[in-house]
Amino acid sequence: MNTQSVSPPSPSGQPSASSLPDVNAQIYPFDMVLAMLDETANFSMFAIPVSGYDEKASLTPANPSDWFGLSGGYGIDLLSELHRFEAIVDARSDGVRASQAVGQSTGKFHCLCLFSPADFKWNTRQTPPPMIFDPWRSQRFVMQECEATFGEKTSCKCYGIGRTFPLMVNGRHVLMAAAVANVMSGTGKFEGREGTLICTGTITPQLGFMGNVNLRVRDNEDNIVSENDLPPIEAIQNPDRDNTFLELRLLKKNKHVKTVFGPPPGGSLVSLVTPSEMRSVRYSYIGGGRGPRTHMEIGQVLGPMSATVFFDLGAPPGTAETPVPFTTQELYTFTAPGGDTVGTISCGVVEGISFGLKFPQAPGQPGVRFAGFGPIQGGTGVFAGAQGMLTVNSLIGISPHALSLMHCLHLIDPNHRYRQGTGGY
Amino acid sequence: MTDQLTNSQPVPAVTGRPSSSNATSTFEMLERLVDQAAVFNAVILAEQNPAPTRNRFFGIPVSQRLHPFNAEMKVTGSCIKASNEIGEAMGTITQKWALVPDNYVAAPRRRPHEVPFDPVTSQRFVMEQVRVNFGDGNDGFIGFGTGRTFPPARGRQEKLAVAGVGDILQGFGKFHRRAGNFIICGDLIPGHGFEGNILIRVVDPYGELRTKTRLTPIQPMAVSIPETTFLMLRSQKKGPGERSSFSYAANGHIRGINVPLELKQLSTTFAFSGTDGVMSDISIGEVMGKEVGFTATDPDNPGPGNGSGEAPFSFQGVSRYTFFDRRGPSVGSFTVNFIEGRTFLMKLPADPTQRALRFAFYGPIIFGTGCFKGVRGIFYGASGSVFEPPPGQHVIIHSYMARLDDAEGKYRVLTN
Repeated sequence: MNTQSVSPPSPSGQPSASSLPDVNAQIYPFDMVLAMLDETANFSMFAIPVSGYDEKASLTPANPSDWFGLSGGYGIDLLSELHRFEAIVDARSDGVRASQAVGQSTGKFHCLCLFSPADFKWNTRQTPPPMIFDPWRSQRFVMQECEATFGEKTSCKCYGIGRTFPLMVNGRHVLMAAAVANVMSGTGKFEGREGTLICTGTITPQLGFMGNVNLRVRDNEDNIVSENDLPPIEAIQNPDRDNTFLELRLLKKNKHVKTVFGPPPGGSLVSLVTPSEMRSVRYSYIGGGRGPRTHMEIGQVLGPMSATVFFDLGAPPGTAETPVPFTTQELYTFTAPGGDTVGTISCGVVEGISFGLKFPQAPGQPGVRFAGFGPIQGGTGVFAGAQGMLTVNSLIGISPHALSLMHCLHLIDPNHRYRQGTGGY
Repeated sequence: MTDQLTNSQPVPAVTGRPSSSNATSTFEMLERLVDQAAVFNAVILAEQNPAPTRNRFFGIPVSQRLHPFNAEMKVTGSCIKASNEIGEAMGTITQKWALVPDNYVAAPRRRPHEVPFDPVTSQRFVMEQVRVNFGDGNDGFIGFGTGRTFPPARGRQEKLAVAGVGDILQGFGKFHRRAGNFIICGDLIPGHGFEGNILIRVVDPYGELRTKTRLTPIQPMAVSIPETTFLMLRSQKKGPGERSSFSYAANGHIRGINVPLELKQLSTTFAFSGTDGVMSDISIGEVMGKEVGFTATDPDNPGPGNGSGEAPFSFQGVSRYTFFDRRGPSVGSFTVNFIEGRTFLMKLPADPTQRALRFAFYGPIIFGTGCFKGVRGIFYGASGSVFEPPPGQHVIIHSYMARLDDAEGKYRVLTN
């Protein structure tokens, strides 16, 4: 995740305290860096499998007589409709609930997920060795030919990695899947953009993907991000009654909040302890003939979040071909308006990728674009027994350590403990 | 019989390329040789008073009775259905299973490192001892194998699905010096032990286990396995023109083998037939569909193992089974991922130059279409083949079974 030059690690391989950079120093003013980070179009979407596609799906559409391509065997050919999505969180003394709405269809999400050995590395030019899909095992996969389209003119092609997570929920076998991808190329308003896509959801019995897809695309020309409200979501009947998504916007409470190095985890890795503040958020977007537009509306403070990020300080800045991996350990503390803790969620990123980030307006200002996912490990209070997934889709500055974080807590929620209303729209 | 390969005999070296074929062996001749096998298809019914809990099945020997079983399929209306005929007991099976870690390398006569039972995780197990006795116990075999549990528990009885693949280590009586494989698939039922099917395929080059006359059909008992339907079928090449082909990765390396096959009705039974003793009866019916499959293997690099009973080759694969009604249209299909398969080298006494294989496998039904939409279950089989790299001859004959969750009897033909 490093994007700046730092002192070499100590001879033991462990960075010494004196060699660690001051991530809180201000090359450019904190508020300016935060504003540059927020020059980003945020798409909060919901993927619903295209009905009947399972009968046409193929990993080898150009060669239908190669039965390696049987979807569901060594990979899954996914096609989902992308819908507008809102999940606005409200924390009160009696619980934490999301007002969740799936809206109008705005495009499509297509992806070939090829299962891979657990140690298969990010490689945009290589197909992984064949690995059979085993729904009872947590398996790694790569996302090839991954494309999100918005109308006829705007699309982005991605490459990414993901994992399946088998779970038992109320005596049912549920297969969760999460993935993180880098935008490799784009058309229309996405042409030449940097961006990161993250998704979390479930693999349906008919081998489709249903769940949340969050895309963040850099927009320093301001032709996607809108300062104005967009037309409201047109909610459709809730397609997913078993899952609730808490969408969060996180940033530092103010510029005086410091990030500190934690105990080194070993090797050339360092840990960075980052406090932030969670807020509810409405991410809006529209497709439209003139290309997509996005708008972000920040809501109530929900409580503090503390993340410890583990990464290789000595690694060069991540690129599309060689991103830098990272992991995290995070604690989300939800508080009622009076300040009392309502519940906490412990989780951490197990698959994270990061890329160097530059700002044309601020040469020399280092930054990082990163995203990842990992399972919820446990909870307290209203989140006792919680199961699910964390996704993070983030941009940060380094020196100053400003944050612009788009997180989602995906909760398995068949009893609607975390959803406002009855769960139907 | 002297050329018959058993685990006690030397195993041919794996030389990568199969030996060149005997020019006199046509496809039809090879298919006939590969088909020299007996199939014993039996049901094991839940006991009325065995161990009190599900996990008590592991770590202790459990004896149960074997019943001849037939699960012949038919296309009826807009789907397929199968009879599930269970005959009177004609033998016993004694098994001792042990749960092991995923990375445990199992082998016969090796004491497994056991792990505790976990009802919500798919666990691997070793079938340390499997002893099958037919009749009064003079004929049968001792086998060894490995398998998996498939949670969650289902139904009122909280049945936990299990499947395992095994090898005949040592035969006795009519099974003396016989090679073969078996697959066990069914459920563990708390308080009642294992309930399900064992499919046994025994190589029989001299026709001593497979009758040439028809045995008396199974006289069904007044019992069946609730909430479950078994299907039985066979697949083989339509003829020498139905070729297998290599699948190549983008880098030009062999990724695996594509195998197209024809699905046929299959009916089996076994019984004691006069002085012949226990005999298997197999009859093959109409074509009822097609299979397309891919196995991730490179014959030049078959991976760890040497194809012996001690160290068989492993394989995995995916196949799609599509069924037709008599007028031609598909009534439905399902896709199966074979997550555990074991291959054993063998020789055909009538043509020992051939690279002959016997193998067995199982895996979950991943998804279905048409009348199989939403189907859940395990598919498994035992097979023989002669393989020459494409475009050479590939003779292959599968005996398949499927265990479907079928609480409503959607796939079942009712019998008396």
